Amino acid sequence: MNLLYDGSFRGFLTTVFTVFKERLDPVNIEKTSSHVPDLFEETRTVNSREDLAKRVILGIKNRISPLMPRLVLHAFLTGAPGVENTLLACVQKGLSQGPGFTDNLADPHALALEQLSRRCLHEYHLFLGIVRFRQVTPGCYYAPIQPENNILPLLGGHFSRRLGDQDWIIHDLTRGTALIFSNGKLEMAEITLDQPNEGAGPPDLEDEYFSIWRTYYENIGIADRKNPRLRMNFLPKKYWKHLPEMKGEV
Amino acid sequence: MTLEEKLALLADGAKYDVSCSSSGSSRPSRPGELGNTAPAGICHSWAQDGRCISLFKILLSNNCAYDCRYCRIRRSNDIPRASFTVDEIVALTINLYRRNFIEGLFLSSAVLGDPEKTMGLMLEAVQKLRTEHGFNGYIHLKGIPGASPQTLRLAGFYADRMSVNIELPTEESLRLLAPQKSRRAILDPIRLLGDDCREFREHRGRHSPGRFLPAGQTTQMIIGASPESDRHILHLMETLYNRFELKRVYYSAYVPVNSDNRLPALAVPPVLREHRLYQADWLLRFYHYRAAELLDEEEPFLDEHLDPKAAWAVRHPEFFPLEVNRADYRELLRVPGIGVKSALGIIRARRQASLDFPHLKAMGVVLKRARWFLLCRGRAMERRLPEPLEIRSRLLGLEAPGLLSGPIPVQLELFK
Repeated sequence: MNLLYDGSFRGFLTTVFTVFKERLDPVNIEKTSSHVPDLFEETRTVNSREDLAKRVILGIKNRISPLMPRLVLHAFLTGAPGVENTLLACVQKGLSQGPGFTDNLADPHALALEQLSRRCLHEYHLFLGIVRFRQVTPGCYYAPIQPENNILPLLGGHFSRRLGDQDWIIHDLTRGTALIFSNGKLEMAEITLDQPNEGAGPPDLEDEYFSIWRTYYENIGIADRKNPRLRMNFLPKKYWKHLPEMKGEV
Repeated sequence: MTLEEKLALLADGAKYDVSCSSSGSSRPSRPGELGNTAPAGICHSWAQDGRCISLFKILLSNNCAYDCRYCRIRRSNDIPRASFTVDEIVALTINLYRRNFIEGLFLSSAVLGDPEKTMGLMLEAVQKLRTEHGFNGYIHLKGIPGASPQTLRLAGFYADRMSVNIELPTEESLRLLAPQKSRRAILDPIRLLGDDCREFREHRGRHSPGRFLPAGQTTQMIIGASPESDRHILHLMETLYNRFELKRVYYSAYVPVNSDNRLPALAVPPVLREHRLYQADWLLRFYHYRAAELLDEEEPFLDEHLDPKAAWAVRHPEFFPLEVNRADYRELLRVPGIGVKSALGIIRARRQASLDFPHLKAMGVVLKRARWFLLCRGRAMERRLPEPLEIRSRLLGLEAPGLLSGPIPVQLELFK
């Protein structure tokens, strides 16, 4: 059976609840937006419900491991193809194996869960460093990002603690979502641009500190030890687009 | 001179300082103030040489009163000179921080007039950031040897980390190459800051008068400008970690920037040697090796062809093979191809199920190295485990294919 959900984490958890509640098997969980209608398969849409989602979180926390909800969330945010079905299998296996499941890296599902969540957290950590704000109006800052995983919801905590005395927006151009921090309050919003064509950013706003930063960047490297491969290992080219210091090199 | 021209000069002067880490401190954010620190550290960019840029690393001034032979901004070199004002440093730091370019400030300086005056100016900049601007980001401050204990100690209350550079491994080299610096003038502040750090850590509590260098201190030395052996450096490194409780020792391969007959004439910086020393450094800090295990009097230099861990493993065939499902954590760490992460992974996973080679591979163990040293469920990966000499040559083959069959091949020239 195909189960369709709205694409949110809450929606996914509600779907997991439905699978357990109605003992559905076998199932295929998909986003409504990416589903291609199928003539032979029965299809149902699951409506997202906060209370049911919470019960799933509580269940996997108590019966599998206190780490399990985070692992599932981070793996979910990768948005990898078929991740919903992998995660459902992880939850089912976790419930049958009990507390040791997340440690059992010899199990292909536990290993996949660990690796997916690591992939997401790795990019999250990188973006703590490479989100670049520009001043739009005094006291208000804007940063466009294009991460591979949907890490935007994770970034909020860090930046509201660190830049708590200024207003800022982090805008995920790929997904059309944004975190808006204003007067000490954090909100998630949808922002789509006027020209929705692939990769079109907002007007290339320059900030006086961009050129200062470029000067700094050019002078802090040791030319005798130039090592473009090493740099690319740490900072792959796909991330260069929104970094002012890489402007001349793209 | 414009601000950007000054920045170009003073960032350029700071680039040979290796340290750029922003880890080890967890200064919290406070309402209405700017910034905090992340205990794991955060890198914000990577320079063309592949080193990470985490802190805004600048000199307060490159107008130096000293004349160290190896240094590019020494007094007798004819280069443009500049100094930042305290306010310029504060404004640059705050504005770059607000745009998330940096994790904080790394402030170093040439000796501007005399050490005490220089340290005083640096302290002023840092005080201003912390008190007037409520800046809670990371601050790494260079200690200038020869500054008074009071000034150094006061700086420790504002900075997250301080470092005094040892520069060269022995007193003789120091006398020859940095005649104005003495070993005592360098070691005294390291000892002073180290003692204070310990004192504060032991008496931490509700009534402690603030934080003192929460991220400890580090140091740096130049490799290849003087004749010391790796063994000598490794033992010095061990002492610094154990007795002085340094957080990190950094090594910088000597890049010839001045021509001076007291310095070796090197065509290229000894980067491979530097790399091997860093590997040995990691073995001491995270892998529970001792310096004496890695090198002895007969072999005072690290093997250039083989990393120090693999070299140790090949020299100690009696230690291997290890059974993956039974060996303890420290034993696992000694297997080439198993690092801290995979050793912890193995410990976690084997409580749930017995492990075999495919599991290890999936978990990220580098089997092309580890295969000669491991047993899974009592069996080796291949029918026969080779002799140590053969293992060595196979490992060498992995590092530099073709190394064994004569000279290292080079790309032929098409046009002469």
